[in-house]
Amino acid sequence: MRIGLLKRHSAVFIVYVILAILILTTGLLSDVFLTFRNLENLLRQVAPLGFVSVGQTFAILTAGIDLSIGSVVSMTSVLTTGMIEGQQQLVLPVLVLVFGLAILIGFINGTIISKTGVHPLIVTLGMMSVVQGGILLYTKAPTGSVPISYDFVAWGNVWKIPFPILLFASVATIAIIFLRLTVFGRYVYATGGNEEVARLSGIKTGRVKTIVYMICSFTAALTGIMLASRMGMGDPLVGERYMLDSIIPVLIGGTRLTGGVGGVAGTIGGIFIFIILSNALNLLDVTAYWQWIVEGLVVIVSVSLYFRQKR
Amino acid sequence: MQVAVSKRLQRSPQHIRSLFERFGIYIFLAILIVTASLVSPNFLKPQNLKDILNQSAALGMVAIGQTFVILIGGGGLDLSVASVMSTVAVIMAHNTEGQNSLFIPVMGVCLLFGIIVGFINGTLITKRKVQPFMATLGMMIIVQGIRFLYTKGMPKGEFPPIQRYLATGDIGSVPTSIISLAVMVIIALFVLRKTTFGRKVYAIGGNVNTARLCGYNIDFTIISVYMISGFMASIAGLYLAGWIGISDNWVGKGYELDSIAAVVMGGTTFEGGRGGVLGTIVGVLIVMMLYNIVLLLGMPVQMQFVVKGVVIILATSFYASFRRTQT
Repeated sequence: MRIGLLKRHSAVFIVYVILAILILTTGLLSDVFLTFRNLENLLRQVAPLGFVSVGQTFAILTAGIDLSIGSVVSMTSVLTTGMIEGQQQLVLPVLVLVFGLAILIGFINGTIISKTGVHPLIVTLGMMSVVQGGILLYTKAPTGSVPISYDFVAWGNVWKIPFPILLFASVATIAIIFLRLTVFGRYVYATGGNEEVARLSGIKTGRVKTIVYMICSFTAALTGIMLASRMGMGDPLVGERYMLDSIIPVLIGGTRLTGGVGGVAGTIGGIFIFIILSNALNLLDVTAYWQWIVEGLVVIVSVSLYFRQKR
Repeated sequence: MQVAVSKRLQRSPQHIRSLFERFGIYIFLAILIVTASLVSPNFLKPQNLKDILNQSAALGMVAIGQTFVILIGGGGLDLSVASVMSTVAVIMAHNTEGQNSLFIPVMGVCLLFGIIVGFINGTLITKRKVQPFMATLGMMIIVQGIRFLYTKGMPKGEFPPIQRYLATGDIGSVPTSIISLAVMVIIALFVLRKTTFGRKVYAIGGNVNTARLCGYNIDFTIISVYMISGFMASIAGLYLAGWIGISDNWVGKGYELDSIAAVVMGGTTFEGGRGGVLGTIVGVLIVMMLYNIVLLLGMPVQMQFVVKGVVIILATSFYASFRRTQT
């Protein structure tokens, strides 16, 4: 029984072993790493990448992918700051509008993907291009500002715990419950595992996919708002790196691009590996260029380790 | 070609659909050309057409390599191409510093670099069973790191005049870049259609297990395909660098996704085994024409992104609707 459990979750297990080794080694190599200040800083960094990666997990579980996520991040960041312009009373309506717009983009992605059968990579790539172009038409340089109260999103504390990590923890928990304990979650796995079988067993796979891409865009909007709050202004290119960065933790975390296998628990491990690695390399004074090389190696090595296990 | 079509007509009851599937992209190109010439009188001027073709050269070369990789199936794609392009560009600029005599040896190094990256990609995918997406993404980041370590963040040097000539010059009144692209297309067509290697690529893309039972060396073919992609990327990098003329860390940024979009618009499917180089080139031409039309109409440059995205989605879904109803 215990072996069975371990085998079933072997990918998640490996991810957390790697994470533990990473934390231990960094703790031994750098005396700054385990200080309160650094850990707090680290936890604040987890949230922006965390949201998009959780969303991306849903898309990848259905054997899809969402490349438009980065441009949605930029869009929400630019639109919130650009429209709020520091006015307190506008915060709520603008947030509603921005979330609505993001979810609409996800809806369009999902509808096109499920109705036409074009590969998600291509549909979301096209969508990325459209949204990014739209943002750059709106503004080419960082713009706008936020009221002071808005700072709370990125910099606030609740009972001495950074607010971003609390928000991330709740989003991640909801996502895990959603995937593991609800009917919709089962549908997601079924659709990703074998779409034809899922469809024949009466699951409306098209609707499942549409919802999944809406979730994806929603998490991207969360990231955009978090980044807008952190920087105090909206940058039209801020989300660019999340397009591919959001995929890496998901795949490090053992979710397979072919769909149906994996989950949010692994992704969370992947996110922490990703963030702690770059933090550790910074603390150890490794230049940014070497960091890229290490990052690329980790991507390849962790994924090949995991695949070795599976076969 | 004509014979093949008429055979299809006899065989398939839904011949019109299959015709659309086969030639949809060409019809799309024709519609685009007609529309463009109607909205802008400048579009059909020889100089403008020449510019479009000239700009298509580098993307076309990357896309040829990408076509091989996507044809092989199994989720095959190469995200490391843009990184290779920029890296060979800085290698060239740093080492020749504008001297013609050094062009050939350094070019050899550049091509070797692309091939090595492709070899590593292919080896990871076949021997370590890493998904192509992850393997090439990892390589993309690693190559980027190597490039920045090499340039220390500040690319310097110049490109030799001969490289500038090859990318921007003319032979008679035909630009050299178009001639090179045409030669590469012909070679690629020949390899895919007339050689056993090409047959193996289609066979593996169609059904890996059948191909294995036929005794094909799967791993060798897959590795070769990624090496071709790396090789094409390094040539394209040198072309684009010669065309731009300035040593830069990000030559070819975005080409990895643009090339994939062009290949898929051209009718090659991610499942592999279907499609080919000609469609890809048409896909490239469509992307570049759209860019051109946006500028001719005096719209802001950023509109290029919007138009490109809309057309990628429209073209591929238009195409897919025929493919889906067929089965």
